[in-house]
Amino acid sequence: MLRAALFTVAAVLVGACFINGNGQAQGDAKDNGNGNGSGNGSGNGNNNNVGSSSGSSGFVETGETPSNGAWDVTAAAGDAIGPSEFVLTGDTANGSIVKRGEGLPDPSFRWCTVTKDRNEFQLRASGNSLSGSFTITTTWDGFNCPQNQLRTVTVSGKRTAPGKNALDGTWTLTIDDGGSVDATLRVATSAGSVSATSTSSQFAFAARLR
Amino acid sequence: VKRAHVAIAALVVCGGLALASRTRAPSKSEELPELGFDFCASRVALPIKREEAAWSHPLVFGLLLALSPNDARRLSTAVEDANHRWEARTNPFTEDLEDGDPDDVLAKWLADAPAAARTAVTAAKPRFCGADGWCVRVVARGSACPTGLERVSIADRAYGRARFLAWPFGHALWLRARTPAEAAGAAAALRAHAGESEHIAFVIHAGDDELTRTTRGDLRDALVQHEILRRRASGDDPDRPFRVDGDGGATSQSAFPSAIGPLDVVVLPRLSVVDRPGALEAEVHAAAPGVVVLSERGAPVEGGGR
Repeated sequence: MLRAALFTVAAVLVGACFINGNGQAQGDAKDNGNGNGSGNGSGNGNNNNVGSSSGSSGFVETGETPSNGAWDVTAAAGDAIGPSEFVLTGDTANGSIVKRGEGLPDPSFRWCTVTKDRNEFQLRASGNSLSGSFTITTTWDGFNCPQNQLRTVTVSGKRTAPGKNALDGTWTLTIDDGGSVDATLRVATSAGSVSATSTSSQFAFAARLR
Repeated sequence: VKRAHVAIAALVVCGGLALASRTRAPSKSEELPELGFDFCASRVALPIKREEAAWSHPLVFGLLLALSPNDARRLSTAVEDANHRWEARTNPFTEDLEDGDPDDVLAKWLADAPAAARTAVTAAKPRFCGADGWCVRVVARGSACPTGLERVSIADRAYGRARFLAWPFGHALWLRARTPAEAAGAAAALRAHAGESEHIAFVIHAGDDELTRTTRGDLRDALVQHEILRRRASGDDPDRPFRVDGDGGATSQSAFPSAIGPLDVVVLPRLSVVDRPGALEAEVHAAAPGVVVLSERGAPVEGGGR
């Protein structure tokens, strides 16, 4: 599940960072909204950048002028995430994926509540490479609870097969999580949308600029 | 994480859905009803307090009928395994010797479950929040918002965000057939098509209650039993209404109207529809021609005023 979450984030951000960094997002934005003025991001916007996925694939749809700012992230999967977001600034994204159990009693520890269960990340895209790290935090509050957990894993990626633009192509990701894990991310764009398919994740995600 | 399975396990608890109105009317003389979903929003304090899943009858029945025989069999096995452990915990003369959550087996099932299950689990969330604390609840079209929440108008800038966060409802389609038989036929056709669809998660129809009794009876019974056991083990009231018999109706949390009409079929989407306006509708038209599709509220419609 952790890897799935990492993949999800990476998939979202590969799209988002590259689009933003390279201004490649073209097309008639399927603009079905106006963004939202709330939130903490700069450039809250006029476009309605939307991403989604089905099964093991994901999409990041972009407006004509991709903006930096705060993105909502949602998902549909076995471990569907809680309220999550990332903030895109240039080619860097900072955010957190909150796991579904955060804030709920821990079913395995009757007197404990999971106070924090999230992956906080920072990722940067540059040309054909992606790099970053995740800090995985799980904390409990209550009686006779597990020891809090905190660890960091690194993620790197490179584009091994370029496509028709700065985002298209096949990407190989390496997640250093107590031993490297490689996976392939296939990215395709069309009419202002970007899709990313992971070879090993069923995690489905969506991202939308607020 | 482990709430997802509880959700599935709770497949038995209580609630409907919908969408809007502008559309290709079947006939101009026929007035289409205002069925669908509205969004009610509020900003909550951080950190956001999580709420237990709120399952409704339509969700549970629709999901059970969406499962392939193999998926249903796997779920049935998982539920039975979970029930054994819950039973051991509730029985003073036995002991659950295993560690961890009895519902872990359901979580494992859910991890490999079809898209219908993922949509259903998401739809069972009582509210849908952004990380900044902006949360929406879904109510049946025209219903009052819960106290303290404000209706999100279609003209509001936040409407798009509400649809996104609450995507199982924000992108669902409500179909209306001319006759009950036609509605049942459309539901069956869409259900048969959903397995290979990129956009349809599952289908809800008034006949689902009866159909689950005849086609998924054992699984349905096991889920009821699971909910009872789980509640007993956790000190919850096992008699709190969650009837799956059909006459319990929806809970107050439900986004569904009190009843799905015999002419109606509701299609819940996969997440992939979020950025593909019109794709679900096109697929529905192809799979079930003859029914009226009430357009997604807020989706671009010819001459629409968004």
